Amino acid sequence: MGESLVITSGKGGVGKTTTTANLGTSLALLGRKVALLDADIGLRNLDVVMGLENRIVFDLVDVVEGYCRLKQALIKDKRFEGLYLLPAAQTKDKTAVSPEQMKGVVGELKEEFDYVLIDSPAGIEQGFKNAVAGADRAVIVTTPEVAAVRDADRIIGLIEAAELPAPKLIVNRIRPSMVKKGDMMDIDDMLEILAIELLGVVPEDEMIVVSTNRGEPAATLQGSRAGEAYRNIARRIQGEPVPLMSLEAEGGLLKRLKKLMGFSS
Amino acid sequence: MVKREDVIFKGTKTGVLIQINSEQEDFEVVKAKLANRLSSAERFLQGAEVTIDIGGRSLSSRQLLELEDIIYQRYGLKVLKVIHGEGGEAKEPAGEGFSGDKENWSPSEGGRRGEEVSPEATLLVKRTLRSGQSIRYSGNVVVLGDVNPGAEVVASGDIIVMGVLRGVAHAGAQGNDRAVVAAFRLQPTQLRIGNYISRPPDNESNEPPSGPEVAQIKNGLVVVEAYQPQTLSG
Repeated sequence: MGESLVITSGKGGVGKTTTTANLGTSLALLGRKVALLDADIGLRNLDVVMGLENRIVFDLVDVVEGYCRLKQALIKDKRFEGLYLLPAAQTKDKTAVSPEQMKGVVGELKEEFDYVLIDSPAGIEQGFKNAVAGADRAVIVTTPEVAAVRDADRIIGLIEAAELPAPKLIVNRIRPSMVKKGDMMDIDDMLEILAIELLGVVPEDEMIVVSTNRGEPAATLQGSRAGEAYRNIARRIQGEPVPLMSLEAEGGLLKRLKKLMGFSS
Repeated sequence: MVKREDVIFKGTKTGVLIQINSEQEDFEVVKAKLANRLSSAERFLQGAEVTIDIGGRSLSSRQLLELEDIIYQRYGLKVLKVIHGEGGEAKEPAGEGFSGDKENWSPSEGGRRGEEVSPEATLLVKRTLRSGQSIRYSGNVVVLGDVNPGAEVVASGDIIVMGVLRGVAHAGAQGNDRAVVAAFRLQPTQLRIGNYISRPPDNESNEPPSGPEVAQIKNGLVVVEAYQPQTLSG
């Protein structure tokens, strides 16, 4: 029996879908069987970020409405054995699925897979409730912005009310140089307000833009700082104690060059 | 003469007025009638803000709390205030927001009015209030945790936060200007006491507080001071 995790944030645009794609890919790299479930019905993106858009035949709504079997709707990833995507429907809206139906689908996936990662839509309405319904635990994604942290706090409250275990936090798109100058919230500021366990920190990385547009999660790319951070987070999800990577390494052109050329220690 | 209903609902500008007309002396009977009427009008009242008119009747704070408990806890209606008045002028109850058995609480020794003993019930909240969460209570509220931005605590009595108060706190919400807000770290988005509203100054140079602080009304202003045991007994 596998485990289901919902990746959620409240605020839009903080990197839920990117995080889901990269964590799924990282877990698959570690040899796990992973199902990605896009719960953002009507605004699906996970298929695009995974580069699997053109393979969709059936979707989540088809499954819950009984038009197809779950196995038929699951799309096998083009790179990794054991990584599958259950896409959302694009032509329906959030009300096309109920929390109970979600629970059913996730339960069925958990029998087959080690991890089921549920990509939650932004907001706190039905789509969010659906996404949380089938989850065993939650991962909150935030960026170092006051608005994103505020929304994360709201979401943590809702997760607690849904009686899930205490969620864990991923801080996305942090820019160490700005934090150093005091121009950006630092991790401690956020943890002080949110008071939940930190699962990982993902630095801002231009390679994410390139990789999501190409449909190749950055976790597969060597030399991507964000990719490396996601791989570390995946290991922590498995229960391995992996220290936070130093964010300092971003500084200095020489250091970065060395890193690119493989000289880094 | 037409017999008057014991419990009457009236629509008003501010919500629903519940008049308790019963001459019935027994409080338990009044309670039962209120509950009975509420359950039959549940639909009509949904989400309404309620003013309770207890007429000439004199109720103890505990009895008032019991009434509010029925209205708020069971039917989820927000109690705005309690008034004494024949369906007419809504005058704020004097003093502590409730007229009741406060006098009985004055400690016998010293003969001073018992400011140091609160007659109101106290709610203990043993968790952090996060954005979007709200506590409303007739009485004092003590939070063992933080009150985060976007969360609010509204109490008819005092509010004490054993953590960081970053959200909105409204003490003395039924018009009691003598209520106080105390916090281990007082960094509220907004502070309200009785009918006063204040917010922190806009200039960012303000150092965050380094110790417990108390806010109260002094000479018509919300004043924040470092907490000292004697701060409150002035």
